[in-house]
Amino acid sequence: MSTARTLTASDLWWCLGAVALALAPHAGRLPLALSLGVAACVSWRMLGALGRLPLPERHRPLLWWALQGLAVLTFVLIYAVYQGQLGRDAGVAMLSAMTGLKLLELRNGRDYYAVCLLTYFLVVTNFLFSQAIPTALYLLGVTMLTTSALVRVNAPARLPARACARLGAMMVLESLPLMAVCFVLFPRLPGPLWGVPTDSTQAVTGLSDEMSIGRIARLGTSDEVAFRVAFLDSTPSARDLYWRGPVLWATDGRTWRAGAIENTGAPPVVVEGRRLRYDILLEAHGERWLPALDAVTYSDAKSRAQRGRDLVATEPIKRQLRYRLESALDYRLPDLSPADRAAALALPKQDHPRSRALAARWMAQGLAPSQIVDAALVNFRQQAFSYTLTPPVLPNDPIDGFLFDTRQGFCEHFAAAFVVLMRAAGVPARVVTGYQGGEYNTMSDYFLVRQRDAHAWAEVYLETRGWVRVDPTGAVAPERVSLGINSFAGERGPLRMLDSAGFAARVFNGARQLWDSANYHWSNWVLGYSAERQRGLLEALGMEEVTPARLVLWLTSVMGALLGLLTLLLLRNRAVTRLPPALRIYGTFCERLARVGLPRSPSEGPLEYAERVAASRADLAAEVRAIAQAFAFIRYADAPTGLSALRARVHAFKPGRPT
Amino acid sequence: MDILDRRRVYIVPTRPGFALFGVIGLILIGATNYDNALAYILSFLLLGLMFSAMLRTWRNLKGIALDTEDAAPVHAGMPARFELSLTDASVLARYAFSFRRLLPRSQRFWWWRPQTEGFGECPTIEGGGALATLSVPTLHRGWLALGRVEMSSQFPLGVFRTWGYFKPPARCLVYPVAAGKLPLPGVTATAVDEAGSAGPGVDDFAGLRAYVAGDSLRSVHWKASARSDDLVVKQLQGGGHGDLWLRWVDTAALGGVEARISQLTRWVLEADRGGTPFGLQLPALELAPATGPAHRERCLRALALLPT
Repeated sequence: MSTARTLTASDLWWCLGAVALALAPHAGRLPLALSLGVAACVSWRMLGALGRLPLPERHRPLLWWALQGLAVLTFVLIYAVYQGQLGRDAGVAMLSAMTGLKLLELRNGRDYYAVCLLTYFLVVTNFLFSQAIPTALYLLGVTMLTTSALVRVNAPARLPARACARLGAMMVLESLPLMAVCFVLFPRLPGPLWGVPTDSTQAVTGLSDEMSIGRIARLGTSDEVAFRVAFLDSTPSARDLYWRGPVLWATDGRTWRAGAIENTGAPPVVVEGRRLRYDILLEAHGERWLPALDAVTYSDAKSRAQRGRDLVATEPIKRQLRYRLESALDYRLPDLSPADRAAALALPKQDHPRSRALAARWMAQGLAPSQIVDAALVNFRQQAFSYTLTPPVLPNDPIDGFLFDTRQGFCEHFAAAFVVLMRAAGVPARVVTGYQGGEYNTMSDYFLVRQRDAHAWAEVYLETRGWVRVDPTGAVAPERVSLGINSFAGERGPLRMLDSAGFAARVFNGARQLWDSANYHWSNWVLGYSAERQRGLLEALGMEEVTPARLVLWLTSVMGALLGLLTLLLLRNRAVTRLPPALRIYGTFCERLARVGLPRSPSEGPLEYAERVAASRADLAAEVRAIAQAFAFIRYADAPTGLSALRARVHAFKPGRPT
Repeated sequence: MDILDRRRVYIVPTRPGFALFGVIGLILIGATNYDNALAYILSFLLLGLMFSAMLRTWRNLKGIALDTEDAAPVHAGMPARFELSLTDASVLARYAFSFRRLLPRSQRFWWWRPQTEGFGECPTIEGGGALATLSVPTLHRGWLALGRVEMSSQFPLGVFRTWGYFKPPARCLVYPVAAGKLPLPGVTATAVDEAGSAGPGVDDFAGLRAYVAGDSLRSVHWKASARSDDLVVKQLQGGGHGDLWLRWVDTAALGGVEARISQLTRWVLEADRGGTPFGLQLPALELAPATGPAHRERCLRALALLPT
């Protein structure tokens, strides 16, 4: 197509459709006025394609100047709205505005190409906001539509719309193998080139690195994914699945924090028994802690262990992170250092008088530390404590209020109260927050841990056994630990109903697992395909020493091979739009005759051609005439029969060179 | 018959094609910066799309054969129309071709665009063959050899342009332009003047007929023309007594060779329209008086090929 070609209404529809669909997901992200403005531009041109409100051709220079002015004005406004922060959001706003204005001067082929290329670019801006599977599929469709729009403007007007759409989609599908090869082999450059603007990370939920009473309960109803874990060798039992997050030492009576004591690092661990290896795919949570099973003996993430053996990354987790860990479930620790002992016994001087009194009673009975732990758990069990996602508010002293008045709490109430009792009784103790349990995905063999699996428990130091995990929630509600939080989500009606195992429930659960499994692999292999993963994969495939130069070499050779393959496929002479079968068979027939030096001239009818061939090749005369007659009958008679006979005849027809 | 085999099909990206390369580069840079897997994927997808477009564009042209015959003669200044017949041995449907005539080497300079002239189109080649018309502008009388014909296409995406050359032996005879103000010999200048000024009543006036290129503006019947959509000229009754001779020497007053040839051409057309038998006398050639289209073509041909 010449770039100066004027556009038809049908061309416009294709192009506008693609632009509108590429812009649609941005509509909610842009300032309302801008969204409306861009929508107005698209609608105007759509009306124009309907013949209602064409561009004012008579005032063309005027429109041109108006557009220039509008462009400058829009850019100034966007600059002002985003306060000069030219990051992702402002960039998308500018691009959308530019596209809208470009539509108003979409007149000839050149503009058309410009709009189509802009649309491809708009597609990619959507990925900065979401890389989920549905988004990707939707935008693949938009890419196909844009390609079809290019086909439309290059094809003759009589090619039907369906053929254009099919060709566009087919070409996109044809590019998938090359895309896959490039994706696997293209060398990944480390790090951002000019810095990722701060607005490109989303708001995230998750455990914070401190615990105030009532904080975790809010996560208790969140279905969001916290992380997924795949065990490499064997799976530990459900009661061992305590994913440790921040370990909290210091309290002011209300809030627990890691504490400002000098960090001496993790004490060395003596491993007893086997080690577990597992991969964690952690969703962004904006903090630095990394969930892990106790006690971590190896980590490939950029992280270090704190003195509570909790793992902390060097950078806040602002995007999905994948790391491999090795943990020993049975281990021994060195003796508690004096500084740590002091930190594990510290309590605010004046607070929790009733708790202190209870602890003093246990001490007066001369109980050993392990007996004190049991006494506290028995206390929880006997005193009608109950576990709930909606605990009553405790305005004054939350620990005493919970232990002696309301007796209803979430895991953090139990953990905090238990640790306070221990410390008051002289047993070193600390609060551990993290996640407990997880949903096993039977299809892809991994555990899915959601935000609502967030949990808090305690660890006490016993001279003979070292740090021991105690889960006071388990004393009150053992199902919470063995079955997970779903058994308590009484207020979450739908899921509750699903627990009653019916056929529909099982189907629904299966679908849910399948979907999460797809998401897991998507995150793991597509979104998380980094330089390290690339190296790992290629080394597993037998490439030694993965360097960028080698990658480029591989890439070019595989691309060359693919190009050759694609050429062969395309040269198989398959029609873009399929011809009627009789015509195709006749085409083969003519092709065979052309090869022996008797090509059909375009003006020749089948019978005429057959006579000419028969005149020059007596040996072929009978067969050629029969085929021509059969073909003519199928094509021109009212009853098209004999197609298979014609096909058989033509297939058997193998003219030799004239002797 | 000339077939474009794969060695004679050329292909380069078009301007939009280069622009798409640029877009791919930009997306790739963005993907690296934001470490965005799907942005990587889209850029590779578009790269694959360019591959696919390249192959499909190239395949669209490959294997087509072109044949053409001599075009019907035209007067210089009118386009010569070559009927191209395209054959395709495959069962492929092929789309959106354009044709141009490559200027002969003597008229072509590498820094000077365009190097082609004329234009022809063929929207579809389906089921083995198609026809197209290539119109080529003509400037000078004589033979116009078609020379090399460029057949090109940008289908399907317009990001690549593929082309190939045919060199069919076709040519077109270009007749001289009909021009000149000298009256037809045998019709006096005064008769024309009287007819033009006096109007009806003059005996020489024989009727009206449609205007033909080469008619003098003075013979146009303006009043009649105003009533109809076409120009109408007065037909005068001249000659009719014996044969009319159109002689080279009678045009000596015009000076230039081409001007004299144009004058004779006009005379031939006028005389042919009048229906009188006429003869043509040229420096080295004499055509005996006759009438009819074949005689007219013979005379025009002789004029077209007259050496300068």
